[in-house]
Amino acid sequence: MKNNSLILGGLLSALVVIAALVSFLWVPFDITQLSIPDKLQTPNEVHWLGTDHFGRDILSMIMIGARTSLAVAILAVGIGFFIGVPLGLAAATKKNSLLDETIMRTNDLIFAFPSLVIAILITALFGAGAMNAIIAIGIFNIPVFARVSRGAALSLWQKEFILAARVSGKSDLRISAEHIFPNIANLLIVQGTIQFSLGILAEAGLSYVGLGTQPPVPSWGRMLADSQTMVSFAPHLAIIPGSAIIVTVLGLNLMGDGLRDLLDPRVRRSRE
Amino acid sequence: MSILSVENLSLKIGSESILNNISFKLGHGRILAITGESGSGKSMTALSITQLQPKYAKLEGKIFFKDQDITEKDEFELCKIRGAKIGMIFQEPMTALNPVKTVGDQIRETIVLHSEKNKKSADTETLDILERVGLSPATEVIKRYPHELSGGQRQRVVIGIAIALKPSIVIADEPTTALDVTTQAQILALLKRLVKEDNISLILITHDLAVVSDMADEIAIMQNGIIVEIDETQNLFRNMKHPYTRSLFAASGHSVDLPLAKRSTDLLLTIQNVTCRYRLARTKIFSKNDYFTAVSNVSFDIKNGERVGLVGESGCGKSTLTRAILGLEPIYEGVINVEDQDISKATLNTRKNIQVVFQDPYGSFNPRHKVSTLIKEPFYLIKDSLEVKNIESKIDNVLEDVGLSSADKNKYIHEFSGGQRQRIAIARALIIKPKLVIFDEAVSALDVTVRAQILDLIAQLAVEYGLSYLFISHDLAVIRSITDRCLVMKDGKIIEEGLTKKVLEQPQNSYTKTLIEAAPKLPSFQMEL
Amino acid sequence: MLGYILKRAISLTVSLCLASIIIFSVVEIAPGDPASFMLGINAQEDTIAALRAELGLDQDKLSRYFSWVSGMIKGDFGTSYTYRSPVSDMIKERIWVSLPLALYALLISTFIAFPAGIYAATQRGKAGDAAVMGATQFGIAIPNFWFAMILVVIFALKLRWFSAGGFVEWENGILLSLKSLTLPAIALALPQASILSRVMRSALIETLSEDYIRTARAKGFGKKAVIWRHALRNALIPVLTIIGLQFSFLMAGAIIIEQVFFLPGLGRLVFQAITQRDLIVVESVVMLLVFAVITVNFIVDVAYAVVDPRLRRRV
Repeated sequence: MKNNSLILGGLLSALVVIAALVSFLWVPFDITQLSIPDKLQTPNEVHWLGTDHFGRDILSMIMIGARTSLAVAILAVGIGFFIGVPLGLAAATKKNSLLDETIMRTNDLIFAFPSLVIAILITALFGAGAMNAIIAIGIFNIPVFARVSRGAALSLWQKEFILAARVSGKSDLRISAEHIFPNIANLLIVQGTIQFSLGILAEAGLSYVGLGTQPPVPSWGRMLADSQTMVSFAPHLAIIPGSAIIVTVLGLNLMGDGLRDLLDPRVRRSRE
Repeated sequence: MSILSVENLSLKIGSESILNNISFKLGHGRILAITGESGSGKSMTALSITQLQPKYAKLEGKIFFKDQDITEKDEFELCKIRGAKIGMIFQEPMTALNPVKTVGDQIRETIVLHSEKNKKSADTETLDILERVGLSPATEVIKRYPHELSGGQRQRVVIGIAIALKPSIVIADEPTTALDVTTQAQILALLKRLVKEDNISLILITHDLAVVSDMADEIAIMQNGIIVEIDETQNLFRNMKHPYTRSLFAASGHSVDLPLAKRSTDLLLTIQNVTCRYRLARTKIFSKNDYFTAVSNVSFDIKNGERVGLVGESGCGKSTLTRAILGLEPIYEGVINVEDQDISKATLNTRKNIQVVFQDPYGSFNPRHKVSTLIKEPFYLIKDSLEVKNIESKIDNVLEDVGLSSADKNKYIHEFSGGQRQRIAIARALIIKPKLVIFDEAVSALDVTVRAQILDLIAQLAVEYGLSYLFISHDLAVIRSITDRCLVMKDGKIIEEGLTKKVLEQPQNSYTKTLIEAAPKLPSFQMEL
Repeated sequence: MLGYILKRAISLTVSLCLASIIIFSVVEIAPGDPASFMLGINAQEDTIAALRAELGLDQDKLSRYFSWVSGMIKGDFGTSYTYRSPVSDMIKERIWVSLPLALYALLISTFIAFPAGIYAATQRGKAGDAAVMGATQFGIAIPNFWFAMILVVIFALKLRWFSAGGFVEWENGILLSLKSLTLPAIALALPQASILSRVMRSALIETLSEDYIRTARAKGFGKKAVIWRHALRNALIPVLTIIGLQFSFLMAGAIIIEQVFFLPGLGRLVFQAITQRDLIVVESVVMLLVFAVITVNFIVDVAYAVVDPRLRRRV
């Protein structure tokens, strides 16, 4: 069975990841050096993606920006995953208990907050910067992972193989680790890629309004914000970072779809 | 002249052949039963007749309805036939009705769709239909939503939809499989009455030979997409030309050779005045909590070496009781003791005396583990290092005991059939040599031939392992063949108890009598084989 | 039904109380004293103290919280630290930009998503489905503020069909106001429409595989009729959930879009207030947004019960 989404998505994501990794070792131009005479060049042989209003090489900035975007998104997803999944699993072991109710109502409450507003609030009050952006985005990932893992775990707890494990005297914690988690891992991977792409978008948004990554560290959102006044005469300043975001998010989403098809036995069966 | 004639019908999904060159005719006002085990292609035959087979299925052959070939009709013409000329009834009454529409709407729309009637006259007709299928008061039922009706009532609605326009043919695909025996008997009687009244030809698809023998004028036996035998009911049962027909018949009426057990007077399991209850979802916001008592003041015991059956229909409390015995369910009142140890305070050491085999051969195993990991899970109950030694050889032995090979331990569960999985489930239950095994509808999901094999296996292993067991089932035939003593449960209470033979042959309680009468029976001229 | 609504109403109130506590606490523990921020770094200790007293910042936290909440219930959102004018007036002015914008975007999103999702579901596996799915993949991946910038370049700067930014007040004509909200609404709606189409499609496909659809087909309904008469209403349940969630997203997404188009909405207000440490405004606007989101989710819950009779008898 061919899985075009997975292949295309994987390639696009790999492209971005490689760009980010390479940027640690090498970038075409040093972006700390401003070179006003070279400013606002359109893409050419020397500067493949042109230069910005300070004469910095855009390709180099995109590569380093990829690093920033990926780092922020990974850490934010990590927060959501490592806090959300245990909470969701715990809630599922004691359905309708006080613990379950507390966790799920807190989740609902977090969902009620417009996430971007709160992210803006947090970064603005506690200081703009990548770290606070990570925390702000991460907080909203917690309920997502908690909800997904609880829902999936609840249906597993009804399964007879879990009853058999309970008859064998295993504790809830042990069953969660041995039986539940491995069986929902696929689902969490898929959700993880989706949250990852949302994290990229959120980071871009925060940087765009000046509350994410701070200069001089390049970030795609920041680049877009800088381009806004020049977009009418230098459209490549907006198009290139925008395309970088689109490629990354598209790649991750396609990969998520592809993974779901690959890992979901229901889909797999119907294709066979 | 026949009303329906299927000629050389073949159906393929991908490269897999589902139906292979089947032909049959259905006469006016006759009842044709199509019987076979799962995977025999009987449901696909039903869907093909109305051209509702899956899109990706490739169909060959001809299906003549009156003199028109259905396979050559376009979608528009087919829609005029479906519902109006050919009605259909499906297995699962719980999901066969749209949950967001009233049952009245769902019957009425069939009428409106195929006639020029306005809503009002269709409404009177709908009320008539509801009365005919035995749902009264119809004026009340017409406003109900499916979730407000029981399974049997829903199936009556589905039947109502199928017969609404007095079609020439009704196709019923396992119409009673999801229902309890007493409901099944009522639904079958209703169906039989309606098709006779309206002179409808009925195709009844079922896996249950006993149901068929009572209803059908003619029977077709299917196996692997082929009709192996088709004949008038009487002739078919008398002659049984095809070996598969014979084996199917033998398996359906299979009686296990249950060896005499070594009786002892030691109490293994004692259940004293046990009550279990659930909190119901509140219907008013400030009302007090309501409770549903699933198990009410139940007492019985099982002695060492005893084989006890527990019979009851769905909702009678048998699952809750099972789970309570396994220590998976809180007990509201009463005590359950295993070897004089209270199960609710049981240590691993007590619990190792009880194991369980569940109904669903597919849900009973973690799909990510190998068979060896799956069946050694109960060793977690044993802390004694002497017993935990030689686990590998114990796995080998138990696999061979249940009729598998020791090489199977390195496979994953999806490589096994339903019957093999149930053998693995038994292996898992037996590996730590418990004293009591609970079989919770352990053969209900299996086809008759496999069921017969598993029942034989259980009977044999019980002796080898010196087991006592509690066999929970809704199926009287199963209980009859595999238990010494049985209990009948209804509404959370044990209403009758005694030696299996005695209870089933001379029932005292009126409910037990109904239960026994409702169970479909195979014709008794089987001895002529 | 009444019990169901009542229970939802109670949980709405509880959520609002908790939300207000959280918002108040976050703002409280945030570093930076509004009074010293307002007066600049050279201000005297006693002037700061006087301002703190005037703003009510010297009272204990609990009584400040209760006066904030009780004020809000009466419609009094306090006085802005920066502008010294009632916050409620400032909000009133801005809400007539933000709310219409969010609803406009929701409308566009729904009008695109329903046909697109239904079409894709009916064409499942065919070219039409692939085209819609491909387009929505892009729609989700495009950051809305970037899309907004591109829209401005094309439709305002190049084609000059719309103005590049700013808002025409409602007094000057409803159509003109709507026109000035059109580009921002499209920018906001695009990713939401993409998500909603996908949800619509998968919900419909899921519903179409249900047994009762087979029953309906056996009654003689054609493939199209089955969608309209049986599948759509059942598929609406997950779609409603997403529409509810999207409202929250649109209110928040509006903040950034308002920046792009220089719209005087709540987003810009809260954004300015944050940078000026005008905490009373921040608190009130965030609370108002949360109130809007929770209320919309309440409406969605009630809509569930209208769509799905199984919920009506629950509490």
